[in-house]
Amino acid sequence: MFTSLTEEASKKLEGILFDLLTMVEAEAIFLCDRGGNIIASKSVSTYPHEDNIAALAAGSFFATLEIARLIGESEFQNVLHQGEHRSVFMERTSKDMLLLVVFSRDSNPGLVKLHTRLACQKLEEFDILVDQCGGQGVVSKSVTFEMDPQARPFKSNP
Amino acid sequence: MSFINFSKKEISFKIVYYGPALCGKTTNVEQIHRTIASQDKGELTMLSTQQDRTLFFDFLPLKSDIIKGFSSKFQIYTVPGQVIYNETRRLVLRNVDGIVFVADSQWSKMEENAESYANLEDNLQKQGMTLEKLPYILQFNKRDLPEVAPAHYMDFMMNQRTMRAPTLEAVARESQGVMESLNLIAKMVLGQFIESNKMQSREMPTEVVTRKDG
Repeated sequence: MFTSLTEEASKKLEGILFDLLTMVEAEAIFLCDRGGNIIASKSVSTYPHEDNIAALAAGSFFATLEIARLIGESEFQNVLHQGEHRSVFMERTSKDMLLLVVFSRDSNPGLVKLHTRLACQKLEEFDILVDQCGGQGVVSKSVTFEMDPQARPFKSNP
Repeated sequence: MSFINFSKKEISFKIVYYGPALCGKTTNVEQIHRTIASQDKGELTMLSTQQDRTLFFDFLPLKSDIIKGFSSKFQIYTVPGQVIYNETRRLVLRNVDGIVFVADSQWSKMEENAESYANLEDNLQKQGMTLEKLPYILQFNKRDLPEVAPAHYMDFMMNQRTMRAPTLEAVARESQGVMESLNLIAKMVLGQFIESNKMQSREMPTEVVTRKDG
């Protein structure tokens, strides 16, 4: 089984993330799934180590859900890590994904929380965007994937 | 669970190195990071205790262009082997596409191998997955140590399923068998992905495809 994102859906998602980025003057925004895959992202400039940030964020956020369960809560909807210069706000979306906002001390944390919640509501309206394969024609017959059976995916450094 | 981004022409896969404590999972990933050309790898993230034992997970992003027209991203994870960290192992296994089970070849570790293997099956089952439906390989590590069990014995003990998993011998700290294991599991994961896409395409009604393609 796999999940896929069409070009059209990708544009719409990036539009939502871009609006949030400008609204709260964030440095970077990532939408990632439970497995730590980045579904979409937007940043002011090239952001290093995107994959590592998404993997760590997904791991730590979904670990907090276990903490919630153990103390008798159904979930923690969001988590804020506040630093001296930069902070990270994470909110869970209805599709069981994670919206992660990296912002500097120039941004207002209250505003970040408010607009991230609103962005999550917009993401809920796009339930069809990220669909399980086999849903409404997300992967078409015209798309075939091929690999050279003799090729090695990874080569050693010479 | 693989993720395809048609906009970026990118497919993501998740591979998890599983096994008992101190079997060499982190050493495998460290060697991969050391061996692979820099343009194909990201930063290695390791979350360890003060005693250098894996606390949460190790993570290494890799890239490959083996699927025509698409970039393939492989997210390599290890789990913490210590028994107390089972919740973390379960978290790391979410959406997994392929598993390398690293077994310690020493006679004294056979029981721990078996326990970890049973733990893997249990954790997969709790997420509605089974080893029958998931590409996985068995890596018999630490073959250079004295008093190791013969590979055929380990194969007999751990590879009893109808669909037998490929096995490899390794000395991870000397990088022997490490890249072979990675390439093997990557090709198995890619193979299953391509096959499942073919099946989905065959089952898909034509009118839906036409509408989306337009």
